[in-house]
Amino acid sequence: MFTKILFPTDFSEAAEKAKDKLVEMSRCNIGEIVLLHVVDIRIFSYSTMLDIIEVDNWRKDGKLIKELNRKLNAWKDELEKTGLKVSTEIKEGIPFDEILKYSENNGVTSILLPSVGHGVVERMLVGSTAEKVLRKSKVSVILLR
Amino acid sequence: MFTKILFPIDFSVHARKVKEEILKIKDCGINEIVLLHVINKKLLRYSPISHELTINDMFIDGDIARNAELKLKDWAKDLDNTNITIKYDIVKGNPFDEIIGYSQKEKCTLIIMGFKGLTETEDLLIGSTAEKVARKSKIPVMIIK
Repeated sequence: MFTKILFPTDFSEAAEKAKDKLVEMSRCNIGEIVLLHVVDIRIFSYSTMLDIIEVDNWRKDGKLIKELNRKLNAWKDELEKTGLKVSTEIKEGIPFDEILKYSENNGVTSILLPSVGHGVVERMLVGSTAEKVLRKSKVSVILLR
Repeated sequence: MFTKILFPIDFSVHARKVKEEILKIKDCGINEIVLLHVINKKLLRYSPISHELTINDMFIDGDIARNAELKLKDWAKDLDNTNITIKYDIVKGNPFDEIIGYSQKEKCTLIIMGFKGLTETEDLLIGSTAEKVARKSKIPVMIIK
């Protein structure tokens, strides 16, 4: 079950906590962990509509990818210290969709998700990615708290 | 995270699958597994034959609980492991409420259950018990597909 764990992260506080839990799991015979960040493409169209061109500029001059890689690698280093085997991946799209696609195309055996919020509003804003992944995933899902 | 696992069982094939998965992760630091069967109050009120005769009336008081206990004992035997304490319990009520409440009362560290249970349908309108547990639980939840 833990042969290949997909750990999507948005670098939020909840994701940070999930990372600590993952360290606890290091004795569970984990084969490999894939740290995935999905750049939510909706922010580009949204900011363009509001005439905020900086966001699009980050993307064009590669600043965004560079920064994301830096963050992912810092997480990777931290996790590897506990003996885990970690790789990183960046995708662009709608988060839940990219998470499911990646998991199906790359032989992922379980998905680890930090889940946030119990309120209705929070659920609609943040928690919905976790809920959609849980519902549509073909492999087991671990929701951390 | 795996210290004290709550394993809600409805005796479906899906729960059986979860049992197999638990056997695979038994070396993850599990100290205790609690098998919980919730007698679904709603199902007991169902009266397929006549309005006066509900499922509940068809059983002599205690029949369901007694049979469930026998089954739970069998399941406990399957999970038997010298290093792990196995307990079982039966409660009556609304499954997801009882599961959440029990996990808090018993200070469990992880709930592990199947995405589907007795309800086989693929597309659920309101969501499965597992989804509700995943949404409301304050401790990590592992959902087996």
